[in-house]
Amino acid sequence: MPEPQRTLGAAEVEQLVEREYAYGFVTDIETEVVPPGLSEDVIRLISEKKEEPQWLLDWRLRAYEMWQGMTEPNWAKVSYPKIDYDAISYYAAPKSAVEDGPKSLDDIDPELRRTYEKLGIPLVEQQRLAGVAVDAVFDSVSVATTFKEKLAELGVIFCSFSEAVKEHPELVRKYLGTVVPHTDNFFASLNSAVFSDGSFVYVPKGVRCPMELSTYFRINASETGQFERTLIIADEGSYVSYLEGCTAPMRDENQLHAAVVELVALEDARIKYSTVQNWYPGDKNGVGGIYNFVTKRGKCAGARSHISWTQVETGSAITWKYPSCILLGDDSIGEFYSVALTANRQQADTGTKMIHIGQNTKSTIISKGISAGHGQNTYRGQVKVLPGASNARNFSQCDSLLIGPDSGAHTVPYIDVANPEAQLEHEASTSRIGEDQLFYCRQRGIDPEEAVSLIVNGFARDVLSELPMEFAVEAQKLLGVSLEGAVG
Amino acid sequence: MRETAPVEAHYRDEIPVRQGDPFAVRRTEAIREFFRAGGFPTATLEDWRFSDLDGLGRTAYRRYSDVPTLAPAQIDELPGWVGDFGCRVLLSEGHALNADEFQNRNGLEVGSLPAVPAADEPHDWGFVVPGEEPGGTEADLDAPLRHPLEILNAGLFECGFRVRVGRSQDAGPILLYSLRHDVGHPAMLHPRSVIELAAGSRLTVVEAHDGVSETAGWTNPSTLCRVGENAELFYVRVELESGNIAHTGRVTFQLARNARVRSTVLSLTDGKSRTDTAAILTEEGAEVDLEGLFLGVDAAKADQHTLAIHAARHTTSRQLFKNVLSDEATAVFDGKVVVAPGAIGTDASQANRNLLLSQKAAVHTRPRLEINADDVKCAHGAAIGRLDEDALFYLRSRGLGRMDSHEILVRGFAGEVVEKVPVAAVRGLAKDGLTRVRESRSFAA
Repeated sequence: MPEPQRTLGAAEVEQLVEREYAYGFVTDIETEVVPPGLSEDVIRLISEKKEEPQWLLDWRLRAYEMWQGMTEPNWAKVSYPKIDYDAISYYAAPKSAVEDGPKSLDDIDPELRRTYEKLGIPLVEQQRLAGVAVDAVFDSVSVATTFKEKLAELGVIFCSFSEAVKEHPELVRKYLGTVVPHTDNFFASLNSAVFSDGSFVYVPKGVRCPMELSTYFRINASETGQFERTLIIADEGSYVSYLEGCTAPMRDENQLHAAVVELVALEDARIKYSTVQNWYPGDKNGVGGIYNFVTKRGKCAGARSHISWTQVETGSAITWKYPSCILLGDDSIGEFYSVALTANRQQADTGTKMIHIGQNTKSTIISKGISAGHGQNTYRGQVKVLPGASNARNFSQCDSLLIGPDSGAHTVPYIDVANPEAQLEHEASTSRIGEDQLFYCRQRGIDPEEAVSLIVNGFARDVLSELPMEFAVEAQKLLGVSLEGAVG
Repeated sequence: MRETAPVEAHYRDEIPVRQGDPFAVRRTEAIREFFRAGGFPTATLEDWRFSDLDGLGRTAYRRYSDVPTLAPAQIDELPGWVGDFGCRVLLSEGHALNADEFQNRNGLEVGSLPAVPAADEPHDWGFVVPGEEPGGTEADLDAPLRHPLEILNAGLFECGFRVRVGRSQDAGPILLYSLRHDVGHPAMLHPRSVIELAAGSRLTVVEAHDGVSETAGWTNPSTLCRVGENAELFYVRVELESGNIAHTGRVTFQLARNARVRSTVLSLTDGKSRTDTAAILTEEGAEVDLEGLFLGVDAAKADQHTLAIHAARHTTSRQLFKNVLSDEATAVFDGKVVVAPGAIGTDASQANRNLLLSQKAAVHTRPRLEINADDVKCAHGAAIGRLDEDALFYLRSRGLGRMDSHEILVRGFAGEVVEKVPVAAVRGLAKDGLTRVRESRSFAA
């Protein structure tokens, strides 16, 4: 039985904070760390350090003012100790991996290394992921630069958010906050006030982005911070596929993550956004782990535009995220494919919102929740058809797989329809990995862990097939690894 | 925070005062508890998103006077279908019209709430002891009895029904009929009823709420059904109140080992109603069917909340709620299935189907599952749409008129719920409801 919710005392919080450094990372207190706590001055300082224009500072300050009057949402089916927002340091200068990170792979947590090996990640990449200072042989910068040149030829802008603010202020100003306004919700407002950095993508008219864009290839990709902000704009008739995160567990020192992702698809444009999230989920007893409170939303602004979200969520102690689509343009399409896995004491409350505004809009929702151990998994989603959305269509399917008697699976769909021509279907089922299925596999010489991985991958296939090829292969392995020890 | 003190004082004054009332103390406590917990729920609360009772709280509703306005001699003036029942209890403004007529026949007790209830254990009336909170994450079996309006009812109830079926007895169909009239001031009615089935017994019962009013009215009935081992209950609830009468009703079923309940809620009101149907499957083998049909015309609104708590192994629940919406009618379905830790072998299903016949009709549906055990079978589904064009074409091509072909399909849609109702008189009421749908402004428009 899950333990009742408890709040942490100051001493415990300190312990937790200290635990973050337990893997032998050397952390010198740098000069450019703002003392914990949030105030207007801190925001002014962040903005100044980043050399932002006045309008952006004003925007941050408006968000901060809004945030102060907001209360933390408590409707999600997750429980965690109360977050002390004054104990968080909202600005730290980008650290250099050479001084800060572990010196070699031998310095990192052996458990982490074992996972890397299971996932089949090459050694150099392991070093990169673990934050080890990479030597000159593996020149990631030059790889990224090559890509960047190719993109520039086509006019695709792909850079860090801060860079975009400096070099393309007119685009940032035009689209920032148009999908997730600074008043949106508690975590989004907090992000708007203090966001550190993130990615910016602009694909010009009629351009089909020739490669998958990934944070992985971005210069200065590391240390985007806990308040990441991403803005992707696909201009008329363009196409872009964006990958976020990676399958390998990332070293991360911030417990609270409140990111915002905004997507804008203009007429005939298409955005495909894929996420694989595998942050530290906490230990077997639910101590530690990342709180992932993300606001992701896409706006199908133009006619026949198309936004597709695919996510594989296996990490984080708590996931609170609802990638959504506003289907504004006529004939626009929104899609949401999700696999959320909670093992040990992980909790996930995730789903989507499909808001049908334009005529003939279509949306598809496929959600696969897997709960193991004491994991709690909630699908929470809304499909809303406004009076003008004639001929809107939605199909939703939310399946849950339960592994172990203490796991929990919950489904909370909201369907609001105000147009008689709308046609909506929602289906959900719940099942568990049956003894007979396991027996069948074992009989054929497949060991229990592999059998579970096989069954789970079959269950999640509809979603995994939506991922870009190489990502899908890694995600499959990831599901298996995350469930180790869950059965048998 | 809104100033609730004057409202609280008003409702404290409305507590019925009767000599020797064993619940006198409990009533005062309940009113205090209701207002301490926030008073009348508003749309800011998740469970009340589509039923904001703020307006209800602002109207100074008063109880009906202690003198009946409809004399017993006028029983003949009741609607015809009431006469179809051999065994019935009739209330007018909460006053029994046929008191004692059916009291205690061969161990079957059928009656209305006496002016002064016997000093029963409060538990018999479904009260929860205040302050006793559910422990841990185990399913909260008393959740339906902690419903804010249930607590208000516990403070204000002045009438109600009581049915007790003895061991292995087969009874029914029994009609429990409450009628109300316009008395010129905003009037409220808080009936509280208890239906008990001893082990191995069987009962068919119809609870109906009827009435017309020009001035604002409010009916807030609570019904508790205790169904013993191997007993079987067919429960039908009919909401007929019209116009300005707001209805906020609840029925809660507690099922013992191998008990079976089939419940149908028929909303035929053209006003606004909110109904909470809850089934608590406390012992192995219990089985419940919760069904509902709302035939909405004009600006009618039915907000149906259901809750099935699987607290023991091998229990079954099936829910089917259908809505036919014409004109500006709005339907809300908020269904919930809870599987308690350890309740393996649970089989739960939940379905909500909606037929939109008009541009201005709206549906809000939320079929929820909360599952805390792994060896279970749970499924839910919701569908919203209009009449099938192919089916309409089929009928039209065989010479049927526009109205008739629409009507045939709507009847077919509603039939899935109506046909299973084991009382002919109630099926007749549903038929009348379908006629109203046919005659509504937006039908086949």
